[in-house]
Amino acid sequence: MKTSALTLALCLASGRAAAFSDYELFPADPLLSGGGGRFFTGSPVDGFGCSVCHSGGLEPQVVFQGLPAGEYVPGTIYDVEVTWSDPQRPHALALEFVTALGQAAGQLTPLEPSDASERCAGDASGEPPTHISHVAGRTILTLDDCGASRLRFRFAAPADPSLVFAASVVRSDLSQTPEGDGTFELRQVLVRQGVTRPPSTSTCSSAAARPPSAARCTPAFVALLGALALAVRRCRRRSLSGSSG
Amino acid sequence: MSRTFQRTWLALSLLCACAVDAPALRVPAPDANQFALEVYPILLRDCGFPACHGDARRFFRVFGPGRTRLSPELLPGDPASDEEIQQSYDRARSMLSGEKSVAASALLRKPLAKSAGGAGHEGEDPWGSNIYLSPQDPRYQILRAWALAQPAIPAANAGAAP
Repeated sequence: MKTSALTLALCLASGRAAAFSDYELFPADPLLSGGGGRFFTGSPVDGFGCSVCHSGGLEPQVVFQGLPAGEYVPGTIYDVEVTWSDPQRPHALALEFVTALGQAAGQLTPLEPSDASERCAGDASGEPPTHISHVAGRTILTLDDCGASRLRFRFAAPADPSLVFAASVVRSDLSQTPEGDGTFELRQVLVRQGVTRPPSTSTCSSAAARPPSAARCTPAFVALLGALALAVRRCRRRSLSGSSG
Repeated sequence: MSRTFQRTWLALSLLCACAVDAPALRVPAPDANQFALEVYPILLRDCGFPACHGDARRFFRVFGPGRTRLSPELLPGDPASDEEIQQSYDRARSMLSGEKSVAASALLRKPLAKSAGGAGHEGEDPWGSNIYLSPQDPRYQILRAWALAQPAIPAANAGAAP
């Protein structure tokens, strides 16, 4: 037990983005700094994405090519390529497809690296950086932040009427802390072809939970602004009528 | 009514108001060992993120491994320190205090979906879901059982954890 705890601690302190440094951490006990089953993909099962811990850095530009565009055809194989800006910086990623019931949707598998860019350190002899975890009916694909600059995976679409694709990416600033890391999150509702339901896509790079002091446009605030605008308008009218009279 | 009488009446009213003791704040003190073993890992898992209740701007904070650390000397993966558990405990029990019952306290109502009797929570996820969708959630049940297990004690005696 002590050895595994030490290993986990060392993994976390190894200078990589903390929450994504070891795919085995996600299902691990929170007392061992694990996710307790949260993989932080941003799917409805996890709730939160990586931005719940990592913040303060530049948002990475991440491109998913080959994803179903709003609709998917059951049984169809989709080969998806993921690339990101600034491949010199370590990036970590977690993604999954889930059904409305929070179970794995379709089949998700990483594709064998075709060149050095898909391997750790961008080295042809480097380890493959991807891992598949099967936890509580979910299938999660994670990417180690070991220096790969491209990821490819295969998705076989299910017969379910709809599903959610969620991906969360961290761009490490090499500081060994979550501060200063950039995040990118993609949440996309996909529907089976023929099912009429408007899909929605959202990306976000800010924290899911806003800090308590963050300014927000509450109805009261909007009303106050309106009242202020009215008062200014009246003031101007009065001064205008005063000056003209 | 003469002015003197009015002043006297006002002074007497103020004196009476001062003489009445305000009701003692009662801070529940649920079992600290049970907290460390059962509740703390749940709060770590679901609340202690830097953007949530690891944020220094929040009163209710949870400190620990893989989350916000209490001391900058602790590495992210270091085991939870006694002080981190104690601080998390103290802040959690403070969230149980209030004019109403423990069952209606912020710690038990904030993380619960509104449709299940929750009080609303800034920490809803991007899908609009709160931490626990229903009181039947196993983690919520552990939290609730811990919170309700012990009677409240007056704040004056609640300085030290049991």
